[in-house]
Amino acid sequence: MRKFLMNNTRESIDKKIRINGIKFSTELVQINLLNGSFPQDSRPLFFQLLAQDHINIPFILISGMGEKNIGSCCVAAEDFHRTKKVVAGETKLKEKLEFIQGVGALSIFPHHSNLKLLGVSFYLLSKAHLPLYGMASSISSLTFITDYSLLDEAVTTLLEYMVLPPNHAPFRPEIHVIQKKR
Amino acid sequence: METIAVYWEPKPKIYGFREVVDLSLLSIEVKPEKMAQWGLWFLELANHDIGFHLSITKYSNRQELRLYILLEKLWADSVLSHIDKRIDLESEKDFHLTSPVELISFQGPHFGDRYGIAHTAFKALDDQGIPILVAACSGAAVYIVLPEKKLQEARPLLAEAFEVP
Repeated sequence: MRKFLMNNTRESIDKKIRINGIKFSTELVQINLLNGSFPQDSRPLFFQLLAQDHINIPFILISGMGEKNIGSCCVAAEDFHRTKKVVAGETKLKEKLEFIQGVGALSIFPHHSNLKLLGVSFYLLSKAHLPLYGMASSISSLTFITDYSLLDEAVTTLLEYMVLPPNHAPFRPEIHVIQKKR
Repeated sequence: METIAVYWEPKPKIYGFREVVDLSLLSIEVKPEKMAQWGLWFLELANHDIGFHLSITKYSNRQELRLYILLEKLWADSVLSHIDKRIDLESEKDFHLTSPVELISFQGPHFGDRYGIAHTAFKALDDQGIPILVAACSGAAVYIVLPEKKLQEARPLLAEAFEVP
């Protein structure tokens, strides 16, 4: 069985998958919203508090299906202390938040809504023992959350079976958008 | 060199809604050491041209991840049958299918770089008691998976919260 799978995989990924790009985030902090005594109505409170304090959340996953972790999100590392301060005043929030510092997002595109890029990414990242704290698809990209210090290693791992267009390299965001009232 | 763009609008604009019904939501509990194996199974499914509308992996703890795949309902049986042959009985209890479910998604300018977008979307639904099965905000896109028949209630609420062309 294992041999069959390995052969099958080699056939599937013998030909490198052509991708159009890889994008890194800046350093982020992941916040996990834990269940248990954390009531569902505290999730809106959490997002309300961050919005009121103008804290952007570039990556969010939530679920209402009764799991231990009802949501995860990431904020910029520079917003970490502000976020902690904002939730510190809310007793029903602060006990149920778990912070993972020093994470980063790696986005690969395009996925073409096909499971191939996802399957290869899971296979390679897991084989390389790279931690995975979250993943979500978007219109064209797959975004993986791993340790910020391991983003370059993650790209090297993925490029074993993926190929970028000539003269392309992973890029970091260069434009910083700020919302301000006129 | 860093470029700073300053942006403000009283009500966030979106480019329109994308709505899909008759979907199935697979929810799978995965141990990190089994991720490579699931990757191989997804490759097998990809060879059968099975695609997804949304895929999410949510962190539970260091020993556990929760994987969601949103796909066309008509593919659910073949995916279940394919995976059933591969997972052991112990894993089976951690494998759930919710069907049918519905998806509403949208995107807007600089979403992902702006505060308050998720709050605006979730508040619109939470205030009216619309349950969210799963949701993801990644890049400039917002995806919300709803139980059957809830899309028709959710759409006007989101249309009120955002400026829709």
